[in-house]
Amino acid sequence: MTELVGWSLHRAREALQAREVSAVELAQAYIQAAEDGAALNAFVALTPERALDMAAGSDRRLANGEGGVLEGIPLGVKDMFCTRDIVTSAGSRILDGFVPPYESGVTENLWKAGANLLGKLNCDEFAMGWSTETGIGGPTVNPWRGRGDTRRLSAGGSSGGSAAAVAARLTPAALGTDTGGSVRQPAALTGTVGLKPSYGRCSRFGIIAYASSLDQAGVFSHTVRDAAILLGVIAGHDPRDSTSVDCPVPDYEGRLQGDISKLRVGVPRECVADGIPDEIIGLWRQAGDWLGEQGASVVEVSLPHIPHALPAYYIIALAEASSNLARYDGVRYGQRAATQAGEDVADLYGRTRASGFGTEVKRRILTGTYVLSEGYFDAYYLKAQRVRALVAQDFGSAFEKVDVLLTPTTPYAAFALGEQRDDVIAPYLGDIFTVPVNLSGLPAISVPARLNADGLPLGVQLIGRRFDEEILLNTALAFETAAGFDAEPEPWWRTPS
Amino acid sequence: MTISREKVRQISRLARISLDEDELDSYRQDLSQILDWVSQLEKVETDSVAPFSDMGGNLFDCAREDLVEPAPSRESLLANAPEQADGFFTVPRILE
Repeated sequence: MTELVGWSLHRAREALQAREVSAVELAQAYIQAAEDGAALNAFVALTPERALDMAAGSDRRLANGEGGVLEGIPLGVKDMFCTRDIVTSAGSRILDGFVPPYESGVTENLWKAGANLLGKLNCDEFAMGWSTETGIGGPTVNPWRGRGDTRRLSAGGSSGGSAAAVAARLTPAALGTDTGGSVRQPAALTGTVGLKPSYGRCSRFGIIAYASSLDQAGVFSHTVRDAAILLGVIAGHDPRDSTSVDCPVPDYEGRLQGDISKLRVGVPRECVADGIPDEIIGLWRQAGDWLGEQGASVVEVSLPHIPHALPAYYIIALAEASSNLARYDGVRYGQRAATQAGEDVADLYGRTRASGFGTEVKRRILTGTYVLSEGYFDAYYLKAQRVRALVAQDFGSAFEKVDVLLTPTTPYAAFALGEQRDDVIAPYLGDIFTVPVNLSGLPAISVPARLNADGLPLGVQLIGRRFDEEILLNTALAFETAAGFDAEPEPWWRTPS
Repeated sequence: MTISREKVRQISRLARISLDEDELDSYRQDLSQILDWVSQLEKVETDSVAPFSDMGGNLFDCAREDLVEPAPSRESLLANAPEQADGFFTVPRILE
């Protein structure tokens, strides 16, 4: 059984197609692994009956020589995606028990391609966070621990459940969402591959909205090839999402070859800010060397407005969040506070939202409301959107000289759970490498590079031109080959079955 | 910069989130810190650009024909309602 969960997605697919293993057997192996891995708290809900039922259907199709690109592959899905008839709560009390009457566009593509739903994965409340601690599901624990250290570490956020589940082999791959780094950062902290496609590449229909101009579905996997397979399935126009683009989906998997001999790689010099630890700078240099050894030319580029990307992002994201979360009023769905005599509907909204939202979410809604309010809109929101235009322009200019940009994914490795902070800003600063990508709608991927001195994984980020996931994935494949990262976490979490 | 308690109260009304006095003070502190930090953007020269609004030019007119398409059933849409009656969502009084 353990052997099956050791397979990459594409190896499992080969085995299924060759009938070495049945979809039901594969599902059973992952259900068992997920149950044994309960200590990580990666899943908020396992769906074993659904998984086995779908697997039985996959086996029938595989026996007939039919079957989609993902036929028989079990997958975990971040609890931000509406899965029809399966509880979806976005990690929030205010949506506790919500059962969507419809399926998200992206998960609909997965099931049409033959994948099977293993369960819903834990996240920060409404995808707002960097540590997967704020959701009602409680904290997710990173399967990685520091050498000689028994402290529980964060798997990052907001898609920490997805990242931990893949890293611990509780699922071969998983869906996440990325608004400011919520796929790439957890991937870096868990030694997995995390891909955020271009804005508009995939449908946002049925993804519980955080910031509508920044949100995008993303995938976690063990290999770049697996990420390419998944992207080919989830990408594509959806008429129900007016921001999804109507252009063909390339054969991402088929076009992977790993040859980067003519590639021009840019290293943004302004990202080398004070306070970036030496080990991260060292990693960055080594990553550039690896790409150079594979034939790419690595040059410095300038993104002069990058230092302003973080505050611009937080103004825009929080403004859009305040608008998107206005719908949670206890009227049509979700939790409602108990009615009190003599109150009117505004009071009900006030108490419902006060008790239904957590602290970080309220903080963001209040800030967002402020920056959109009369008298402040121009100074904050419009100003931030102008800075955003400058950041996007910087990337545009850089991409005239290079094909791909290289940065670390995060300025840190996995950190301890439960760290108390007085300063609300400090954690936001960790998004320095990831946020500019969302502002500009570009595709980016985090690929595991190596372990640090404490034995914790470090990841490297590659950023591509908008809708040029082909070059991005190809570069990532070359990097993956050069880095040769094959470390696995010690399975301390596994309860014997 | 510190924003006033009255401002935070006003914002909480706009956002329809009830806050008690302790929460008011706590969020006042948080908002002040965040707004302080983001106000560094004032120093950025932005006269040369328009606000980013079209995702770099990949948006297109997606208006469709005004034809009725299948819609979810009333039952499925009411299924998650905290309170409902006769096919309606029910709420406390709205008007005086």
